[in-house]
Amino acid sequence: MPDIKQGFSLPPEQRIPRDQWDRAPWNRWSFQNVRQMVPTTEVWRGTGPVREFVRNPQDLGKVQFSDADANPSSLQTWIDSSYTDGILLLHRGEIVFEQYHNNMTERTLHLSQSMAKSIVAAVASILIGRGLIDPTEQVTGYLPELGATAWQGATLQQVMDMTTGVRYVEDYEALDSDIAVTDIACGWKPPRRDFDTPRCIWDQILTLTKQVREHGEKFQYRSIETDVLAHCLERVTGTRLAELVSRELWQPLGCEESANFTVDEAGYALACGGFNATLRDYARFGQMLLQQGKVGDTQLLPADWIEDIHNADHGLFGEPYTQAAPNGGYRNQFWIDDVDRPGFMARGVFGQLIYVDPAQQVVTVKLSSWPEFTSLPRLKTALNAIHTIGEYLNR
Amino acid sequence: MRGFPPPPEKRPDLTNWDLPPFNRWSFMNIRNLFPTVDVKASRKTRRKLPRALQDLSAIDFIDQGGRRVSLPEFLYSTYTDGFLVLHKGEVISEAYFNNMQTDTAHLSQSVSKSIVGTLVGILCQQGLLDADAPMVEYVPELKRCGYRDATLSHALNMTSGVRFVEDYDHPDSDMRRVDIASGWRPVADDDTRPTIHDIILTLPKLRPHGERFEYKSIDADVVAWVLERAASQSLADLVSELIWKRIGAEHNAFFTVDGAATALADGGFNASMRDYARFGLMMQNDGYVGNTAVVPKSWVDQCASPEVPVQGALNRETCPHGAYSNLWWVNNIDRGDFMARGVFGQMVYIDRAAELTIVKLSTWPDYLITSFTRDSLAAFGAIKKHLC
Repeated sequence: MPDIKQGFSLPPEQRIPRDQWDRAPWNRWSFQNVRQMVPTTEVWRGTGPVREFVRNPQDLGKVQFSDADANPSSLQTWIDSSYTDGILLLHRGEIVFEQYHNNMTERTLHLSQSMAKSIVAAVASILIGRGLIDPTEQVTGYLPELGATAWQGATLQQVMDMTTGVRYVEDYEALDSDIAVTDIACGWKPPRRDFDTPRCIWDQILTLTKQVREHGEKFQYRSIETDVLAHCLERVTGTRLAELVSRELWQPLGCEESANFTVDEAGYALACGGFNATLRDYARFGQMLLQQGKVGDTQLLPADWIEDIHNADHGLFGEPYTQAAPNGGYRNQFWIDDVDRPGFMARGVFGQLIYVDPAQQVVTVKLSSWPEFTSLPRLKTALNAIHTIGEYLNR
Repeated sequence: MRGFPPPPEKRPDLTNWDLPPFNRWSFMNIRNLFPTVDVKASRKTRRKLPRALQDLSAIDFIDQGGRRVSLPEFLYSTYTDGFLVLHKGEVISEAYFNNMQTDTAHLSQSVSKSIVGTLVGILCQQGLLDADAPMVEYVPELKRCGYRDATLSHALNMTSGVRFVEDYDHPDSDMRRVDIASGWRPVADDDTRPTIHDIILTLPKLRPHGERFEYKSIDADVVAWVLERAASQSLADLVSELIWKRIGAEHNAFFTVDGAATALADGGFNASMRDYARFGLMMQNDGYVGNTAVVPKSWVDQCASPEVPVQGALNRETCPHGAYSNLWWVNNIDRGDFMARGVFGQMVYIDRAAELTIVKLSTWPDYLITSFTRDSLAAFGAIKKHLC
């Protein structure tokens, strides 16, 4: 790995290339320094007190489990071998394990990639609870402009479940895929000189006019659906997404640090993957989910909406997703690794994970900077570790 | 930036973000436009600003147009976003306009320079820097440019003899080159964006260093480069550790950064109004916060009472008895009231004798409006008179 340092007039070869900052090896530095790479907007924590965790540290490093290849491993071995920047385990709401690596600290904001989707959906659930939006409504009811796109006829629930038939190629390595265009439209990458790209995410949404199957037919992971959802939230409330997340989540959760989103040229916060927060604040979010949406005595998210995550239809969940989760599902912007178990998760590329296990009363947050966007063995190993630790904590 | 999403004609872009009308929004939303680096505050060291609010609305003065205007009229007509008066260490007046809030970070333009200058005072005290030393001793790269034989104090007092055309409107000026390097202006299609340090290294020497004062933003960037090298820490971390946490700042501040993650020392600093006030109060108290010396008193004295008066018609028009010292402006060398100042109406004004610190954050319709500066100083004078 190159020696990544910034700010002391580095020779060009040591500077992070603008079109590569979110890739390995630069992600080891950039995921903790997103604000230095791109424009961002603040998700204010407010002025309220921090909702402190009870600390009950336990020596879990030696707990044994089997990795994806069925080889014996330990929690610490896994942490040390999986590009961990931060890991935190909550058991019954208490911090039992917390570690930082790779210069991360308790105050460092870390990019969460697609975990942002679950956070945005949590805001949506609050608005659903208030009757401001209805998941069974068609998206064009909120965003009439989408009548000219492939979202015509799709419901908000289908958008949240990523089962619309909209054509959007989520190939991270291909330069001409739709997600590559998103990378430019959202401001993460400089515009290409060889072809015109939309100048903001909204403009890209309006270009997606091809429908490849019936809405609701099957789950296909497409990041842009979250951005459609977020535009609905903004339109309905007349409030920008960062302000919504601040008001509805980050303030009531009693977060320690203000978070932020990356923004595009139109000031739109990247709902599908541009959120940055501290390890503990992700844990606060996870613990609230574990408590069926409750924070203290306040019901923040509707409990039935969290319960509804378990209504994920495994029948819509096919290849390649079944490789990692043969009995998995996706619902309300959360992943389920086994529809017969109560656990669910928020996940992001390069190894971001919040795993909520109501049965074991465990929330695990792991922030990483893997060399790979996705990795089947790394994910399987992580899930094995989490399930084993959960059992260990309840032994 | 209204609408969901806002239509293209309502979005600021790199050609116009700092000009009217967009600056009224963008100066309070800099992070939405640029990469930035945190200057962290700490909850553990936060200090409360005591409050003893007074009604100052009856204060009036004669403005540059010869009219008698009240303080509220003045604040309204000079595009004020935030205004705060500290007297004897207490907030006696605090007002926000144009959607600014207590937690809003406002761009302060060249107020940044005074923060950098203050840092030099701290590092000199720590023995990490010597103001009389040639800067090339800290940054050997400088031997390739006009700064090769300039000392740190030449840059601190803007008496270096390098060429730097500080023309904000001219498309080919050195200032515009820095704007491009710092990411504040678009880069031409076929160009790659240089860094701030790249620009520094292109500047030739025009005349002997020390000969005369000439306001050159880039001098502050050279000072920052020296600071970072001497302390082996980034400017943002230095401001955080040595100033922001020690003054008890309440919010994180930040700098805009260039493509090499170099903070824009000459003008890229953003903070909340109360934190600018805390910074000013520390200077007002001879560098002390409580019983702790954050900046040596001798350094503060030097910022307030330099020997060399300013030159240049524009500067004489604004402050006829003014001077420039350690990257601070002196309003009147006899009185020793001094200030950090930035284009488009940013001011942190300090009068130790009157135990007064005033912060005014604005979004004027132009870079420099001499009558607005004069009116601001007249308003501060009227407040002083009212209090004493």
